[in-house]
Amino acid sequence: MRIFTVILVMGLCCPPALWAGGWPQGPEGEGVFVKGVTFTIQDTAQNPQAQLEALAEVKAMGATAIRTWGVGEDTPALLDHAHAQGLKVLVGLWLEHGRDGAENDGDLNYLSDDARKSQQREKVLQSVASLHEHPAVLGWGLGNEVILNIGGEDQKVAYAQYLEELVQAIKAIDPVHPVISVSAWTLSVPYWQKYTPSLDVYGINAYGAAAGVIPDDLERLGVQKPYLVTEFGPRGAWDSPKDDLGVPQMPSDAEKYQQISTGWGEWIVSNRGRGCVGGFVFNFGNDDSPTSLWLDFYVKGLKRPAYWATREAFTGQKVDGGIELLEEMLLSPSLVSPGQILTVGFEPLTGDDLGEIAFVYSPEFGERAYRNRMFPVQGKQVQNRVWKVLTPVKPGVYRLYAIQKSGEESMTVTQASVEVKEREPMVEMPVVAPSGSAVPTVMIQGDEQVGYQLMKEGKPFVIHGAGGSEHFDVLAVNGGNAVRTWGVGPDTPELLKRAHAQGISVTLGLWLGHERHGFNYSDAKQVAEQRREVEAAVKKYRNHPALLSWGLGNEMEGIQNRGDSPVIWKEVNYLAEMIKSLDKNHPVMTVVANVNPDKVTAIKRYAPAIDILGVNAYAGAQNIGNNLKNYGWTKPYAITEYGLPGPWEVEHTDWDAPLEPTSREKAGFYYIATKGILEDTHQCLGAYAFIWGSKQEATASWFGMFLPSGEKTPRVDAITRAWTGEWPENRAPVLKETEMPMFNQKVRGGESFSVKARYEDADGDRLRYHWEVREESRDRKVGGDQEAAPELVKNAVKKLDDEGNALLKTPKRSGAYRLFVTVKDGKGSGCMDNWPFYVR
Amino acid sequence: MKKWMILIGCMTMMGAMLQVSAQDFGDFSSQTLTGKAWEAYGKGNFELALTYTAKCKEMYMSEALKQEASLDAFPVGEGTHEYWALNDVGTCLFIEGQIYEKQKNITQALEVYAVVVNQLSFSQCWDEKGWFWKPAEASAGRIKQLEFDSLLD
Repeated sequence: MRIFTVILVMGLCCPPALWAGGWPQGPEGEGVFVKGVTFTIQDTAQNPQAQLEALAEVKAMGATAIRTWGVGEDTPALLDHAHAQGLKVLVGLWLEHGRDGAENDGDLNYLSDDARKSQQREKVLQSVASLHEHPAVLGWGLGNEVILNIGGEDQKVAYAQYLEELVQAIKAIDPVHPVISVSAWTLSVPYWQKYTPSLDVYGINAYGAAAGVIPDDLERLGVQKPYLVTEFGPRGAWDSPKDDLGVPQMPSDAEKYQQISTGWGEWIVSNRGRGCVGGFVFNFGNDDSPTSLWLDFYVKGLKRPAYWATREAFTGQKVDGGIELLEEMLLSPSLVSPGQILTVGFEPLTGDDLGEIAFVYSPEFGERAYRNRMFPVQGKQVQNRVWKVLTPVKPGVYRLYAIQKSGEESMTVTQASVEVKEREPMVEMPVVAPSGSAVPTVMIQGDEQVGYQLMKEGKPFVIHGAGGSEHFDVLAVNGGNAVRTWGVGPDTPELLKRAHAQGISVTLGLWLGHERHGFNYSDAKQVAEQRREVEAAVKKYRNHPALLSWGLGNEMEGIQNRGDSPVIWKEVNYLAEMIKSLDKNHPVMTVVANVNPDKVTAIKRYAPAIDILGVNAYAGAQNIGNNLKNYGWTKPYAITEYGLPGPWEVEHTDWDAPLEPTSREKAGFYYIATKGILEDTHQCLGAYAFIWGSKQEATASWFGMFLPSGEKTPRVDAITRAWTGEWPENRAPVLKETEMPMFNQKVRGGESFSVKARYEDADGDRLRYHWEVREESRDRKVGGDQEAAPELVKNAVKKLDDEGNALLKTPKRSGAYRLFVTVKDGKGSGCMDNWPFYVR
Repeated sequence: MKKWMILIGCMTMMGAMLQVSAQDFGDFSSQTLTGKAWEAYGKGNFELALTYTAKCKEMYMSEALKQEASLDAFPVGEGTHEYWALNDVGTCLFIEGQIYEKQKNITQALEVYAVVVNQLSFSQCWDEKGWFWKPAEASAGRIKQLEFDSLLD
């Protein structure tokens, strides 16, 4: 226990004469803990009773005192009014600052400007002389945060010495009331300790949890005087974390309420035994400014949560029926052009209708007076909890405040920041864009209500797409119009050139690291390098005439988790905004591995800059639109990979080999999925079939729509039929009949089986059969990662004819195998099927 | 002659009793009828399954259509069970479609799938694996598959 505490307790229990006049007294003459509010209400011509009415409310809130910052003409009346309500007043005696500070009023040099110091001294002493006998006076609040706002150590010392002279002079006039000076946090205390020993009480302005640790800091500084928390409230801008635009994040109304209602007890009252003699909650005022929205009890005559929270802190009385408070506000995009439409959503986005909301901008740039202004903007409600508002015309960072009347007499506010930036001039990239070709503008038209339409060069564009980098000629003649890639590399310029030559548009993939591959989104170095790579790619290809949109990442959210990591989605949002600042002509799509409610919520919350959600989905791709709606996704989407159920989605043999659908079934999957996906003309922009090429994944035939040797399969025919309503000119062979006695069986090594797989060709082309046996793949990966082809078993199968008959002699070595047949028509089409078996 | 008549009469009664036994509608609830339809379908007893689905439609189609009309989105969570008639009748019709496909009665299959898609679009069916699936989505898929099959053959 510190020595001073003993003194303080003695002082409070047996108050010295010094305090007897003003300090609130208990029945035994003991000092009473101050429950105060700072007070800035003034009488006006419109309401000459404003102060009296406000002070009656202060009293009703359970307060015992108010605090002011300076003496003015109305101070005697204020004291009368306070006294009438039984309130005490810590009378502020304003002392000029030495430089511009929070109050923007100082240039007094305390080292050299003796004339002004003298004038100020006279004014202070006149105020004390004229008011000290008033019964409402609690004490003198001499100066507010002056040392914080003085430049130079020597001036600070000079001020502290000047302060000491003033304290002594005040006490000569008024030996009754305590003299208090006020510091921002404990910054002034070392100066007071050394140069202003006559102060009776230290006034400390402290907000949020900082108020709770004042005694620790005073103890560290060796203070043995009592202290008053002269300003207290929710966490201030100076203590708040900054968002991505560098704007301090205002606590939500709920947080503010909590910090005052419970913080008063936890951080102030609980320190009563450690030197705290009370506090003042900031601020019983009624203004219309950003500061007012943050801290005042009233804004435009409506009570803010701080009012109710303070009443609860002082009296324990809660608001009847509670008050509705706005929660987090989401802006999309957060980097916008002047005069653009900004979408504003309120969490929870799928909740009930919010009713009427007013919006105001407040600039975060310019002179202080300009920053403290508020510019109303009209908002148009487009959904229960979604509005559209126009952005300011003047570039810069702004806060957008959403203000809502809550009940009859209260107001709730939430805010978010947005950067308004002039559109960057287009830089032509003749290296990539073929000479003479126009730069296309791709945009999304419509909205959630009327539906979305992708527009390319002013014309509607439905994505009939494929994922891959080959066979663009086949795609173009069969009704396709778009391809998708996963990343840029040395081949990208050539790919874009080939696509453009075939009239194919390209969603250019911008690869983002996967944590399962070792990328760490919390590693600033890796993130910075990735940003540089994305920026370079966008700058290089943004003007290519084949470009349709940016494919920002592919399944980087993870495929074996919920995919809702805020770190990853915030980074995706950063990159999306960066891309948009570099390229206004193409929308930004991000690509995820299927969807779930958590993932969609995370994208909406952390990556609002995304224009299109690309979803890779296999089984049930045609139902993704319904799922997205159920999860609250309201922007457009595209299916960025679809096709067959993956090996992870089908039944397996007893030896854990996935049962691959037949080539005929696969064609059916593509037909059903393509037709089903494109039926959603409201929100779906189109789809990319996977994979327009060939690929070893589980088997050589599972995902590839082409044979490894380049022939198109029935899947290409099926998707062509779905896109165009017509079959291609040349059809691929279709499986009609099979006899595979060893299929999904455990058999003996060296056993012979007659097998049959009969195919038909709609064009009557002569079919050629090729049979082979391969070991079951042991190089299985996840997420489409590269796999090695399994070993070929030589001489295990003998073709008997070109009618689909063969003789299989099972390998002697025990293990899992597949029998493959490849059928080609010699005219660019073919087919492949396989049947797993196991040698015991 | 009389003995023969008595014997035939007894056999007729036994047959009727066997039929009643096979068509055990239980408590006649839509849930019971649907569960029995699934069970019979799983055992390959398609005619019995169709008896249950027909009874379910007969008793609950009207309520199912009312429930469908009250919705503009899929119910979620526990609320899904409030639409019991819609869910069970939609499921029964899907089972009928599956049976007709197996019986190569494609026209009939397409007809019942179309009813699910167009009139019972918000029906859902609980899967023991732990989620609801949607008969209308499944029916739409089957319609397209049958359409594709007809194009191929």
